[in-house]
Amino acid sequence: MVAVALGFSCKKTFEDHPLTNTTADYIWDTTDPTGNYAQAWIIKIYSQLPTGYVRINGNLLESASDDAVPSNPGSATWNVINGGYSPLNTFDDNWANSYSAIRRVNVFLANYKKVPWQDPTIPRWLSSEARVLRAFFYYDMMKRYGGVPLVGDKVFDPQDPTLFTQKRSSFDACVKYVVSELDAVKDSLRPDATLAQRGSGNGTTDGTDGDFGRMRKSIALAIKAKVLLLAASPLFNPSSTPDLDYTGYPTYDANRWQQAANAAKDVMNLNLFALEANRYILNTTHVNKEFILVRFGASYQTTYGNLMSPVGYVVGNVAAQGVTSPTQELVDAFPMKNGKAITDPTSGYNPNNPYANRDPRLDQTVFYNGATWLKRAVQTYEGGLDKPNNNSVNSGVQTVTGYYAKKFLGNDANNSSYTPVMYHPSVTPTFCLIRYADILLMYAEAQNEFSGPDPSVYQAVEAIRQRAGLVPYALPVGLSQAQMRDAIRNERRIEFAFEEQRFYDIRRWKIAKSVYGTALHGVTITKNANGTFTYTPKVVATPYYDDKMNLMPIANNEIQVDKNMKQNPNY
Amino acid sequence: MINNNLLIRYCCALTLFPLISLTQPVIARSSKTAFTYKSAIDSARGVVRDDNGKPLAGVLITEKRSGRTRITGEDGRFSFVAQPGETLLFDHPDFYHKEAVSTGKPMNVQLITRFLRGSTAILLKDTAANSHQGMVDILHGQQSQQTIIQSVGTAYTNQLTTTPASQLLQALPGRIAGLNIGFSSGGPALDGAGMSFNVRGARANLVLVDGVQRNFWSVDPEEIESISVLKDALSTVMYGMRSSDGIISITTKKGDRGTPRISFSSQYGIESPLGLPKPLSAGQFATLYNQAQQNDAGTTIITPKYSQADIAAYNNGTDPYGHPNVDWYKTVLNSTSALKKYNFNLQGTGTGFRYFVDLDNLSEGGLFKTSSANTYNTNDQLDRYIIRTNLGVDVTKTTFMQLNLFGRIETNNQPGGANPGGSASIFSALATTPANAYPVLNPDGSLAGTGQYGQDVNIYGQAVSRGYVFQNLRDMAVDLQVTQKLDIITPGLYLKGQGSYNNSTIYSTNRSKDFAVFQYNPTTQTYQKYGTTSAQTTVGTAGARARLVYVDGELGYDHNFGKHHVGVVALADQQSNLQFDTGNLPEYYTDYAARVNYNWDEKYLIEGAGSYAGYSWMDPSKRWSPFWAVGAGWNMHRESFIKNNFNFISNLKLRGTYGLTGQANAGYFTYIQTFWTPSSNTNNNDGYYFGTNGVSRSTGQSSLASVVGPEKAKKLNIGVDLGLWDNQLTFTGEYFKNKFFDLVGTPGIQTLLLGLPYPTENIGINNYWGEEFSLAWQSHLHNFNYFVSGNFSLVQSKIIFSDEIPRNYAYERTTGTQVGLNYGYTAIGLFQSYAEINDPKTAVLSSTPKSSLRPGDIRYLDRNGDGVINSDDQGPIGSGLPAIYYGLTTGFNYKGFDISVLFQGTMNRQSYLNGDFWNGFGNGGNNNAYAYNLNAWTPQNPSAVQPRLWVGSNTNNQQTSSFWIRNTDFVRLKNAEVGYTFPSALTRKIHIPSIRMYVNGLNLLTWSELFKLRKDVDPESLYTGSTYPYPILRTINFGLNVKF
Repeated sequence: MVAVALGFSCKKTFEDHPLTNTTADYIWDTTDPTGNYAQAWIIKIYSQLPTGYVRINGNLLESASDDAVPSNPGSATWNVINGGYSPLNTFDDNWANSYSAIRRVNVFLANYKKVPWQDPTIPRWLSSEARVLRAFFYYDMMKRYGGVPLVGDKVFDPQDPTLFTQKRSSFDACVKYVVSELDAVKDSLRPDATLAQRGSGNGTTDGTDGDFGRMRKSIALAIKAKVLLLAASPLFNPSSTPDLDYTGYPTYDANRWQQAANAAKDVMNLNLFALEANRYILNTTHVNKEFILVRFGASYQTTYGNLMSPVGYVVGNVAAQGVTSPTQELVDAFPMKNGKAITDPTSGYNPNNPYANRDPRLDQTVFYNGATWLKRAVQTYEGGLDKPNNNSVNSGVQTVTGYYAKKFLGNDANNSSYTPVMYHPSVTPTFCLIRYADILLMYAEAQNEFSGPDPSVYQAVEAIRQRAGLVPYALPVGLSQAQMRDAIRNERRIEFAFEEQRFYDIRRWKIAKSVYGTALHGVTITKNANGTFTYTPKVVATPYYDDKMNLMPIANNEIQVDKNMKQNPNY
Repeated sequence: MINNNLLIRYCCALTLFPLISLTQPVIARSSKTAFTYKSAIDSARGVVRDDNGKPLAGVLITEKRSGRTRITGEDGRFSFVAQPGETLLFDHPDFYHKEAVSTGKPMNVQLITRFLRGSTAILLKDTAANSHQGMVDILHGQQSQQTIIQSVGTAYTNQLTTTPASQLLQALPGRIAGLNIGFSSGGPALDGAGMSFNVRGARANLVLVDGVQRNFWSVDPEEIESISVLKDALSTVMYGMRSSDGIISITTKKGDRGTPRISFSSQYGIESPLGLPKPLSAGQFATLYNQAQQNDAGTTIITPKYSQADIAAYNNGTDPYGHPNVDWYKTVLNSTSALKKYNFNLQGTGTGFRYFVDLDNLSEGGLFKTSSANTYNTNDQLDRYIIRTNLGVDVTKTTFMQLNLFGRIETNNQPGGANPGGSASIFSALATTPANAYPVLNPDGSLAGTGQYGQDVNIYGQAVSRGYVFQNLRDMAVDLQVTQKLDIITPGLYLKGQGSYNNSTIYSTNRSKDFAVFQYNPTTQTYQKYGTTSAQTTVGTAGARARLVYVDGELGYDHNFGKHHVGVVALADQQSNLQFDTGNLPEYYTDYAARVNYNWDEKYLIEGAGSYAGYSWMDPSKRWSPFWAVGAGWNMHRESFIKNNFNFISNLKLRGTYGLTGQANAGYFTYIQTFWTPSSNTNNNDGYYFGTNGVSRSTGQSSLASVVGPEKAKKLNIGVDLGLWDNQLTFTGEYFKNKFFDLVGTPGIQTLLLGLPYPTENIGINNYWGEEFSLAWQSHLHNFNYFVSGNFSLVQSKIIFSDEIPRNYAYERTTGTQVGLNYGYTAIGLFQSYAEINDPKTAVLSSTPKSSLRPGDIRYLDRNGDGVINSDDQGPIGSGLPAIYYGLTTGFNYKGFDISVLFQGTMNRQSYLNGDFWNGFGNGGNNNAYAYNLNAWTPQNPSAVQPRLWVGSNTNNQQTSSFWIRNTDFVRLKNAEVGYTFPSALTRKIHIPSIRMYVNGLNLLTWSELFKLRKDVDPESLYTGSTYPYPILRTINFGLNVKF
């Protein structure tokens, strides 16, 4: 007993509970006028922004769309292509991440005033940034699920019984909430950088904007434009299940297109953004004239080049994997360099030399047979270096469509080795969530729907085509509204290929069933004795698609624990 | 190295100290007790000796003809007035029966220690020599087998030393009722890895060595007097916050009475792996791959990945570089590895002290091939030295001191590589690399590879060209216990204090390197290089370093008042565990505990114990908690109505206990809500970048505060002990019912809307109940001593509460079902045709529409009949039958030959066979397939028990379902030993009383239900998910033991 008593007195060596733990008192430090920890709290919320690139089964999101399929027949994405998704097997589900981020925002809003901020602009900026982030996370859910529970500024306690009585707000309410939030804070954000600060002038290195990526007025307006365009889109305007208010609006209202057009116009009117003349600037810089909302942090560097490059390449003693196989449908969407679709008999398209004189963006987006990269021609013909059909030594994968994805890779056709050029020194790459080209095409889409193809619509679309290098870039005059709609949709597809737009665009437009629920194609290329090639189309996938899949399912557990929580229709 | 040398010297000095200083007087004493027999024509006389040739006290000698008896004293001597030719019978509880014929000359009778102890008792009354017989080690004391009412199962040294293994607990499966031990992997340097054990079904992880919770890696079986499993509330409750799980309690030898007993043994074992997967040959792999790919494509005929020419090239080996066909297991592994062990131990008594000294050296090699090009060892290798000195000193007539010094020095080696690297990575690669992946070596001798299998991947290269990782472990411990008798105050009172200090460290040296691989193109005869070859790293790191301190102060009282016996012990103890490498605060377990037992004439027994226990990592409001247990017993055989009417009943005891126990399970100060400090770590996406400002640091919330108290259990135990015919037959039957409640877990009803993971709560309630039976028969026919002992344990369990989410159907509920069942769909076989799939009545998963299904896919039961397979068709799956495990030990001893055999098995054991290993072609088609996959479903093989093959993953077939639950019952010939002891009359001529040669083995034979499905796996070491462990080993071991 004596020994034990001594033992207790020895306990004084250590504290009773760990003082090493960071508690809430440190984060909302009432003695730190700079609010160092509180500022850092916001950073974690930024890091929850979507990361893009190969985040789905080691492949691009578009490998589950009509733009591409995975090269590897064993990729888990094939299960989604063949079978879709369900509440028990959700796909690209961001419910958990979004509500986690929203909680962080709400914790910040509830606590940041405890800090004795010495500079009153900092807390104003930060709290406004937090609310813009929150708006974005709601938007990111709305495009998947429709209306979702709006929790306001509430920070839930795990014991709170109302957690299990939450219900999905109407889609209308969600749109109104997000828009009102963005409107409320848009003028209390950190000031935007000027166009000069955004671009370096020489177009090859980053601009000088040190706070690039922070939520600012331009971003708030851009998110607002995204939300309003979503709201005006055919999927929600009107909903095909009008009695379920969380699936969209009960009736069509053309004014929603006008609001969307106006919102996009507001961004254009800021005069803070411009299209970069050279699209490869978007791959080599992250502070430039065109990026509006970006996500930093996913480190792909050389790895991304290895994943995407045609399998015959060896990059830094590491073999390329060519994980993505773009479809013939995507390749065919690129017009000729003269701006005419390949289906146009006057376009000059030659099916026996299909890649000649095409939209320059094809070369920037897809590795096709004969494209030059790293000082050699890509060989996706049967038995070529990049489609060896030789399983004797390498049981790896190769393209199933005759194409590989090139987007985001450096334009180093004449370099002898691959360089991960898209990366700022010591900084991980950006994934652009909204760029100015998007704003222009959003404006064109909304304005065309609202008032038809007026000159401003032409102007917006043609700006994209001009920058792309089409000669002539002008669209045919006198397009009907429907023709213009098709033109804009095709322009979105090729301009934003592999930027995570197409997957949700075809749902928003309710065309997924027709463009994706049918056969997807590739091409078998055989090299003839005389050096020419023969191109034979082939079916590479027949995806499963049901119109219910225009809205994503909510994970089963969320529905089971809460009687008020309704699943999307037909799941 | 200097430190190591010093340490070794220090240890040697410690060990030798008692040897040098103590043997002297002992030898002198034994010379004094030389034989001085009176010459008498009519005597049968001599000395009874033990295995070591030392005089043995307490032996009952019966003259067969007349029935006269003698009992040997300390000098082992006996004498009868008898004619030569009398048959004398020698009996002792711990030694085999022996019969000898007197010759008229002085007899030297050497007895052999029994294999089974504890289950038998030769009833010798009123002899001092017998007073320590039949004692059972319990927490903070001992009780006699006669009066114990706690539920304790015990195994002794002899049952442990027949098992050739580096892991002590390998010897225990099947030995003790209620204890279930499983080994999922083998190999050197495990230190408990790959092992799991539980007592009565509920998890258990508490091992005591001489009363202190600590690692048992530093304990060698030769050091062990007994291993007890404490099963009920009364036996564990004094351990407070650690009393809910069963406890395995190891007691070391403290030194026998008498002159020094020396034992030396040398063993050499040959190990071979069990359950190595059998991959397909390259040609078979290619054929099945094509089949899998075509299966996926359905009715569309595709161009197979491998042409007929490819397959032919694989099969006939004409193109070894373009079409390799490599048996990787044969290329990388040797068929056997070696296990060597040397043990020296010494024990005895001097004037005023007792001692036990043990030195043990074990080395175990690995299975990997090595290259003579390396000047260092790349193979797995364990070299372990264990050392122990237990010294008990009578400081004064009333003061006793026990000092135990023990420790371990161990070095481990394995092939190099990044984490996990080494052998784990090699066994993983062996299981997953197809035979056609790449050749071993290129024509120029370089390591082969492909772009897909880039640098560091070639498996042979991993074994010999990846450098090595070397680990050094040291454990040092000292226990000091002082007992002061206080009979001066009142007879039977004593005060006891104990301090124990343990220190363990691990340091490792990582001398790994990278190697490049080259792909040889036979057509162009060129090489493509992948990766780079680097110099060896020189990284030295400190691994786990821990300090454990235990102190205990105890006041006890033990006294008889006529037929009343009272025993009381009251104590306070505290254990602190400090894990230096984590930087965490130490955890303190504190107990104020007491036990009172009373019996009347050893007939009516009652006992109560309790503790008020604390655990320092818990919320202050929940840190302290009381626990208690009570019990009663009735020795019916001491009642006259039994004694007089059923005198063949030598023992009959009824006993029962009930109590409330606890288990801290709170995590590290989880009651404090924590956040993380500004972090710039971009690997876990904590940090973030803005423009040209570089990295910005982030803070965040780790988790919500989790205020939990100890988990608790109410435990009932009812037992009966029966001994018949002088305990030749013994039987113990027990029934238990344990209700575990306040189990820590996260709520089942939770929503992601919270935005953070839910904190844990005291939430679950599980019931466990079952029966245990042990039956032993131990007897002899003249000098043929034999025994049969079996035990059988049955455990059932039920979830009483688990905060389950609301279910639409009763069959979906886990509440009320067995603990730990899988949850999923019920499979009803395989689709046999498209017609069956496309039948409108066939229900399918919504994420696997009919267009994606193929014949040979798994069909699920639409349990609610709503036409679709969804969460409402899920439920607990598995048999839910009680877990049964059993062991059977049998053997004999006759004329120097001895044999013992242990069978161990389980029933109603089920495993969930999941993962790429079972499906083949996993990991996007890059993984391996096995001979087992040849039996997959095809239209020609419609009755297959495996589904069709596919490439990569398959949503439908990989749902959690009853399809993948398979019976993995097994019976093992776990352990067997055959020994021969040379006649002592012979060996005494070279002054060695006992020389024994033996052969024993571990995991000798296995029978399993699973072998019907595939034979190339072991039922205990299943490849599921992505774990491919070092295989379980079969060991055949040859040994020599010398005692004197």
